[in-house]
Amino acid sequence: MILHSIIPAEKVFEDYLWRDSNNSAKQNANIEVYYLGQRVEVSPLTNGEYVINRLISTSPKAFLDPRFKPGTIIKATLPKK
Amino acid sequence: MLEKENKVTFGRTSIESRPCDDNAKTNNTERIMELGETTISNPKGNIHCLTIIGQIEGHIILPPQNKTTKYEHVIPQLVAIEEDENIDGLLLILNTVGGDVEAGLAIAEMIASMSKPSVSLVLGGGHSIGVPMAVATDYSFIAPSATMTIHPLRLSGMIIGVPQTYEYFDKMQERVVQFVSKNSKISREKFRELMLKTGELANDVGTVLFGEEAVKNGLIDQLGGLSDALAKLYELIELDRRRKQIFKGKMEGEVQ
Repeated sequence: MILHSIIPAEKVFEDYLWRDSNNSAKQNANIEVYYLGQRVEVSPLTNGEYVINRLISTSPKAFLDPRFKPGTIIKATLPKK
Repeated sequence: MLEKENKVTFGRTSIESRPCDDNAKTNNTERIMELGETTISNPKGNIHCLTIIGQIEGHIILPPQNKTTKYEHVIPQLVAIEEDENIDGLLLILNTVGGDVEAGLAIAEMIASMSKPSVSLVLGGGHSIGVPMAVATDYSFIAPSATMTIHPLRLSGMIIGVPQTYEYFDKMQERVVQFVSKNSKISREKFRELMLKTGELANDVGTVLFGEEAVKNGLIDQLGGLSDALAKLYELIELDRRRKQIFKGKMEGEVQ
């Protein structure tokens, strides 16, 4: 991979180097799900709830929908087997 | 019924919207919205907006301190925009520091080969690999305060000190140079000159172009903001519609 960026490579990969030396780096626990037909990035809370971090969409209308507002808490359940 | 449709699965987790009293009274329009199939009726045309922010993330996942735009998000979205009959045009908003060469060029090529009208707007910065993306659209705008940094690819990792290494990088760079010169008014020679200029950047070769300079050099078409970009996009949509009507008329004439 060739990085063509104004940010120096050592800055971009800073955390990688740091994680190698410490083994305890906390991973960003963001997950992506489809919610109401749109792709959203959520992070888990306790008791099966998730908080919306951002909406990944190209539809300007979706960004006006209050249900996709960052910080909105949504409920998750495991599918029945 | 509605709750069932709301449930979405991803891997082993399924997410449903929190039951809410307001949802009890659902009408038809809301159900269409739930499924994300809203048809927006704007007589001038329906546009979708793609924002490219932070680093362009390609083959390697970047550490979490980087804000990234991932190509696996962008490429399917571009396909969806091209395919969807309800979408008439694309507005591309750029504020990027660059990123993966291959991913950046892939996105730029996708945009350049779209049949629907597209307009880009560079805000803040459109640096490095952001340059080919900015010029990929049918028409490009830059905010007066925005900048674009043009600089050569940098070497990182283990490098073998042989002439072939330089040649390899020159080849990789040539892909960017060719794409930019093909999709904008700047010449290949001029772009290379800006890329390899000394005395402009503090610790690197290259050039920083302000909004106006980017326009003067032919890289970007016009100085402007959101309203200018939207007005241009609607104008291109109108032209596209007329062209299609003429084509349709000709086809019908031939049949008769």
